[in-house]
Amino acid sequence: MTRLWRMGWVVWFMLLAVAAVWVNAGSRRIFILHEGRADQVTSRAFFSGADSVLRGLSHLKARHQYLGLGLDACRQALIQLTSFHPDAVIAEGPQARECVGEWHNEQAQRIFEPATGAATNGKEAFVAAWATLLRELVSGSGPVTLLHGDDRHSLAERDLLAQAATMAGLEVRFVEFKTSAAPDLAWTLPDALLSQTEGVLVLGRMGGGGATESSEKAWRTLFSKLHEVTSAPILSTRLDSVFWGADMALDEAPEQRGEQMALSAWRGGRGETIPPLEMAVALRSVFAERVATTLPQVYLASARLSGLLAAP
Amino acid sequence: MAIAFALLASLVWGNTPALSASSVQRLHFLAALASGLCIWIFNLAPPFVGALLALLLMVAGSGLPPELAFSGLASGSFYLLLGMLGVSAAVQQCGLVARLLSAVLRHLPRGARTVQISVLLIGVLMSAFIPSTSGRLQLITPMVNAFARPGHRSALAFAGLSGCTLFSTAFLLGNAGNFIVLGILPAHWQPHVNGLMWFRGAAVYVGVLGALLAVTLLWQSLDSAGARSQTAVLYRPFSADEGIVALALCCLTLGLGLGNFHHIETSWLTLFVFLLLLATGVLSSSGLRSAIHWPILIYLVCTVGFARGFAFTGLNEWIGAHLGVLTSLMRGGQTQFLLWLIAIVLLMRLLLPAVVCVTTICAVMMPLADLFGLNPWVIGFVVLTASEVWFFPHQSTDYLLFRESTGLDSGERACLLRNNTLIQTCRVLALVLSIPYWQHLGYVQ
Repeated sequence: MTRLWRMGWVVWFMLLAVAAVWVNAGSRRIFILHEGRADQVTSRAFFSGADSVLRGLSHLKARHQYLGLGLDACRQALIQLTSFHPDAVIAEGPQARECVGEWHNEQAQRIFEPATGAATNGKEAFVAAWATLLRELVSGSGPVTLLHGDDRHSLAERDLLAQAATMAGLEVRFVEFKTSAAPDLAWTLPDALLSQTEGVLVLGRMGGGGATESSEKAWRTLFSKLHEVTSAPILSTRLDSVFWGADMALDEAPEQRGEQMALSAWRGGRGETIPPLEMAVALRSVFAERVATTLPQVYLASARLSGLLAAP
Repeated sequence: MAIAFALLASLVWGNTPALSASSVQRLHFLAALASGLCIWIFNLAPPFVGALLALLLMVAGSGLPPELAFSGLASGSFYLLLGMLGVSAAVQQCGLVARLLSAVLRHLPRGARTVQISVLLIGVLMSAFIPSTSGRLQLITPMVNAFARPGHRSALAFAGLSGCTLFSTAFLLGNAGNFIVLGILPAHWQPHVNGLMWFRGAAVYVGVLGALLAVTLLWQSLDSAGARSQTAVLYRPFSADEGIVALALCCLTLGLGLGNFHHIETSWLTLFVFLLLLATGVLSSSGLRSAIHWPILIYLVCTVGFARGFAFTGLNEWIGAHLGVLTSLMRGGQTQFLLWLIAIVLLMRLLLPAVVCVTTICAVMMPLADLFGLNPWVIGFVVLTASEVWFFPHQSTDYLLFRESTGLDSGERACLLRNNTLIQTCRVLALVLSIPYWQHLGYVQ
């Protein structure tokens, strides 16, 4: 190889280096903080939704981190967040939102997961899907018992569920508990619930619902207690809850939610975060077999396709 | 024997109707891993052969998808190690290091203590960018031989050996095992771990061990009269190869230093520099075959596959659910857990090679640590560093090679081993003293 040829290579590589630095320094950096663990189905679905948008855009650099079950996970996530110097931060779930709230950087765009049915179109989709499900699952006029928390978001979701039950022509009764008090391992079922255990039971939001290990155990305990007092279907608005004992769950599709929030981060705050219009179904396989004749097969197919079919 | 073990497990457990499909899959996976362990423990073949066989059996027997099994080929750590091995080979081959060492030593006072400290610092400096311990020792040995005199040969050899080995896990680029840990880290952690983060985490370890090492060296008595020596001074002109390698190192250093500005991952920077060296002919095709340690690269690919396999088969969750003591320690007593981990690794190292300890423990523990809020890097660093601790000659092939190439007599060897026992104990102490610092950083609860 001649000296000139080698010099040519060196010059060419230096030009490439300058170009690579120029392209990458101008890239938009997005940090995505997930609530829960990397192996949770909802986190995986959210990840794949966001990734499907961000992967196709070469000038975007995305980094994901999970809060997991650690008590001090937020601190670690904030260290990474700060060192990444992101232009936008996406927080999936209330626990992640709370964590990002502790980060003091006014310049970065913050995108938080919207509350269920936060916009009109999202609300309509949520109510319609729940109404259809209740109509198909509950015979006659009910009753349907709604177990819900007393914070602002829980009450807003309760209203939507009540609207859906009414739309399905079902009688609704409410059992409220203090969000701050639940769930924990020593949690006891409200008397109002114990006195009347017939009909479908729907669990709405119960506060933050972060995925700490103790809260996962508490959820399992809660569902096991509920199964002891009622043989009727136990439904939930949290997709992960079928892995803790709920029979079926219906919520806004996390994959589409991930897509929407990633799109919002890409647009740089020019567009409002649009709640997802699709709904996702999660089912426990034992329950799916039990209602195989009454519930349309589309639910089972949807749950299986999304990996939300939980073994007993 | 290894294959028979896996086949037997498949036949016995695979046809037991009481086991669920996932349990059978886990057993097949463990049987495949056990076959690799058989090869490692009984030293039937080089470690990478055992690893590759285990991975093959996992794909064939436990349904591990090939894209997961061989995901190591798509991981940044593979290209980082490939690039660094190439850069390191070029640095050694072109004579730049020899020239630099010669220039440094020429201007240093020739006192025995100064030479000893210089040899030590050169070893530490090389640990920052040469990922092969044996490569560093090859470079330091001629210096030790040139300066060593009967009065302080052992002390000088100890300084050279310590400088080249003790801090290798403190620098991301200093040890091939570091790349294995980087590869096994859960995928969402990998982009967060770079050279700066790695060194920051190891800062207390470096500080404590550095101080203890300095005390140990000063404690050794040296015969200053024996320190006068000839240094091989290079007067040949600066070659084009050396110029290109110097430029490549500048690019790499700048790239690493300005990471927060350009956000290009270290692996791609290293690969870029490696390609520059190949394109300009500094590294020839034939040289590439001999200079790159291909077995460690294959091993790296396999270990990443094992880690992904653990997650795929759900073994991590199973371990988390069934080993209550482990998870409760990881959740509520992380300091005690780390102390236990150090002790276990030290015991395992009496029988197993370092790379095997690192692979097996990290593949199991790092994903679990991520679940329980313990920074998985801490697990990797602790396992890596503890597995590098050695007290007996059979535990360190690097020492055996170094001993032969420096030609130490039996008395000098005994003296070196005594000093080594002391400094390896200090190494464990430095590791233990790092735990409060990690708590301060938020890595450990």
